[in-house]
Amino acid sequence: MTKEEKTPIEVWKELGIDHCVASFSCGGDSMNEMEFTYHNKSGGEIPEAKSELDYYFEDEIYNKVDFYVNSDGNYMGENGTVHIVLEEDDEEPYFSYDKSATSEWYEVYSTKLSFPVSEKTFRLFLDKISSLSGSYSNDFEINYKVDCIITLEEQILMKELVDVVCSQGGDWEAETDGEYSDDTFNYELEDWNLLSEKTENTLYFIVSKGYYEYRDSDD
Amino acid sequence: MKIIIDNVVFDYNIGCRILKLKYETSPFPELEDIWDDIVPMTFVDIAIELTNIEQRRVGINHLGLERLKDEVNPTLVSSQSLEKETMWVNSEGELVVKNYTDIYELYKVDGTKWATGVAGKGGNLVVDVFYVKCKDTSTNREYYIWIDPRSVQRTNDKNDSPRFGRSLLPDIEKHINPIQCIAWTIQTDIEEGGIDYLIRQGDCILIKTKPKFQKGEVRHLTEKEYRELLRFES
Repeated sequence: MTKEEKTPIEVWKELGIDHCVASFSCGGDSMNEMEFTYHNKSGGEIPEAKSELDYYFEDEIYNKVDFYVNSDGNYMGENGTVHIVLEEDDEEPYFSYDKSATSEWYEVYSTKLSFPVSEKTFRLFLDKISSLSGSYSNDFEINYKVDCIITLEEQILMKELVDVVCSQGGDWEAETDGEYSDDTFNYELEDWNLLSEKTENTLYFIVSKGYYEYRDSDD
Repeated sequence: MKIIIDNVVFDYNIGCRILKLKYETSPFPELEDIWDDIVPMTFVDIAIELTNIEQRRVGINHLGLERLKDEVNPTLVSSQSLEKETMWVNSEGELVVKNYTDIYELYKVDGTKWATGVAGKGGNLVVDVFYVKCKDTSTNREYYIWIDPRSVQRTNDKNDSPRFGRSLLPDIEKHINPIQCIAWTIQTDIEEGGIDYLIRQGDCILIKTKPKFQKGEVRHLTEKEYRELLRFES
């Protein structure tokens, strides 16, 4: 018996296959290896079917099922199974494909946190600093509004504020069931002049964190 | 203590010296007492002491071309001019023919004026530096563009022996001219003979190729190409 001589449906029937499960994962703009397993009615595996039918389903599955491989920074990819059965109710028997998958998404959640500061720190930021931002590693970048002298005391005030922002920002958790991605904590000073609600001697930071979320995939 | 100038951070001492280039009087009350004693940075100081490229940019920017030129005391090697005709749009929106004279000047700077070492052959050799001075015809701004004299010479002298390698010929300035130098500042991968004409808008060069042009190694334009192919400029 060769695959050239018999149709896949004939092979399927001869081997007593009840259903096939194709396990897949994709994302990052490509499909990963797909694994096919063939089972009888009681769920037992039929290993010899692989050499007879994999060649067929490896091509045909892409004609029947949509896989979303293209990641865009928000959508990461999906993984799951495709359940293949032989439908014989109609005049012409045919294979039906039922995808069951979970997609992975990367979502960034942000919040605004307020930080009461001393008059000296407050004046430093309002008079000299136009922006301050940083990330998980505690490295931070500053843009200055004007030419100025930054004293050692002012450098320490900045560092102390960043430490507090990192500490409180690190404690904040977004309302999601997603899985926090450790390296995705960012913070950025809010422009005081653009704030609609603000309190003297208080600085405001937008804190952002990234989470991986998993959702049932569309077919 | 740090000094911030143009959003770039400097150590206090260097910062004071850059401030002296930027401001005539002390910009900060804290510096008023010492302002007169601060020695502004020189071009050599900037070149040697400021390794951070952002700091160097700020330093050169506030030193200014005039002070730079005064410090390095360049020697005018040669001057050439080209009579040019181009099309401009006047304030009424009309297309007009503009005739003007473009002047190019080749200058030499004694290597010891901008780097440490000694001129001539030997271990710590400092070579002279050359630049071509030209003017942007639409903005009237002057530009000083560094050139590699040996490369200029090789670009234009097809009989130049490769055995000289990259080493300088004696009195290299006698073997090159300002037009060759300004042409050299333009590079292309279109082989010689493949360019129909050139259009220049500021430092952006557009090349119209002939129908059957060949691409090759990136090369510098020759004096002949610059003189014959440059059609429009602004």
